[in-house]
Amino acid sequence: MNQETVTLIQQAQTGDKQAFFKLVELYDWQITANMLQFIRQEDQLESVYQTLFNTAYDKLHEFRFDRDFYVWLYPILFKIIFNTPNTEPINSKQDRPLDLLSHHERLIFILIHNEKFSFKDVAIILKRTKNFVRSTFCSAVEKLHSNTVRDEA
Amino acid sequence: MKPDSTQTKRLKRNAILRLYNELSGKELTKFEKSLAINQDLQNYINEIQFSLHSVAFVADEIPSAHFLTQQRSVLLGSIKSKPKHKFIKSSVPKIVSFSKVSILSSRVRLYLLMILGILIVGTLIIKFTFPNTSMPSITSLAKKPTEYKIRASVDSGLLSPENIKFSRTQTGELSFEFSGAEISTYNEKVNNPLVVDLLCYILLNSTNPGRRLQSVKQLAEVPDNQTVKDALITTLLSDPNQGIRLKSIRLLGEFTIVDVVIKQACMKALLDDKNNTIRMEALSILSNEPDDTLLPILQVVSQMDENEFVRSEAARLLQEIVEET
Repeated sequence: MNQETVTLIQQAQTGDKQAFFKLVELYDWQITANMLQFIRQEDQLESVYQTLFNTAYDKLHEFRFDRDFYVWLYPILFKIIFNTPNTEPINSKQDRPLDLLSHHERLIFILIHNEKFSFKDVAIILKRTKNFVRSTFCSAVEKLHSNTVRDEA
Repeated sequence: MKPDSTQTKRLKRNAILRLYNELSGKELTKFEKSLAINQDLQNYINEIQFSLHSVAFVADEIPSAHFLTQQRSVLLGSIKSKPKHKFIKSSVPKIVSFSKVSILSSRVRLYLLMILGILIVGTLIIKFTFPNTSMPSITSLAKKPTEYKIRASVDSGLLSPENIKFSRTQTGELSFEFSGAEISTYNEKVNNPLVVDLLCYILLNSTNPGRRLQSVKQLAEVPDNQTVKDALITTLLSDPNQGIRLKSIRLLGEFTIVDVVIKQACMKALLDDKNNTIRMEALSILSNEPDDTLLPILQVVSQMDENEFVRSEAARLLQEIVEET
């Protein structure tokens, strides 16, 4: 985290809303690109964007400068996505294998398979049991495997 | 004998978990035994690996500039309408009248917090600027070369709290293990100054709540230590984990002398901490040495605390102090 970001966070923590807004401008492209891995409907994307940064504003006083601001936002983002109501992906043709998965399966699969989080960390982030994460992840892998087998046939 | 479907399903799921090193030692041993005699299972693992490889994720979508501009505009509106500080909430009930003090409002709570904050910070600055003889410097404490090297590693940042592990030995000493430092182990009693400093270092700097809790538990065995007291106060006022804050305030309550810094920290916790039990503990410590300096805070708490029990206890203590004075 560079000095500019640290200063912006410190100013935002004292109540400087303009500083917080600059912070949003620094991070929202990266965060939104990450959201697109999980959400493909624009209205949901808007809702998650607004909820995330409003929550971040409310919780900013809890930020302790022991990690990057982006890393701090990560669990908040995943918790919001996890609690976003499940809807079908925008592309009904399901041209991507991950579109076969349910909302929770997709999120947990991406966190573990792509983002390399441990099962334990995912359980902590999503405030679910490790068994739930294991079971959902296995279910996701089984669906993806069945799809691959079907395609080959 | 062909396994039933439930067993097959469980084996297949364990095969997936094994690919991600997610099986515990016992589960892994059992699975490996099944795998050795089950060719279908081996084939399934190969197929799964192939499937996972074929769904390798490609980030093919990027956010549009239009979307971001639109969302920033909406966000700006909602942020502007928020209160400036989290702890100034309009939902806090205002007190219209009070028998002794009539100016109480949420603003009073803020002023009290600010004054207490300034006093605590000032006291700590004076303490560290003009250290007294009971707090020897780190260099003078490092009599042994091992201790010097450990302290040097900590001071230079080579030894982060996450690189320090400790456990209790059978002889009652604490055994430290260091990774990434010149010294790999160190055994000493809990009341050794270096051990105390290491425990305080972990308590104040580790990102792992389990480690911090482990440290604060060990510090319970070091009574009336100045370094411990400072670390416990900082923890009480800043640790995000309520269990650790609770343990800290309970240890502060065990100090023989409740000095002005402990008192101020308890006052701040009583006004500001979200946890009912911590506020109750703070009130309990303050009630051991009641005096009229507590009056303004007790007046606020007895009226404004969200917890009925804390309010009633504060009112009771307030009554006692008023009657005595």
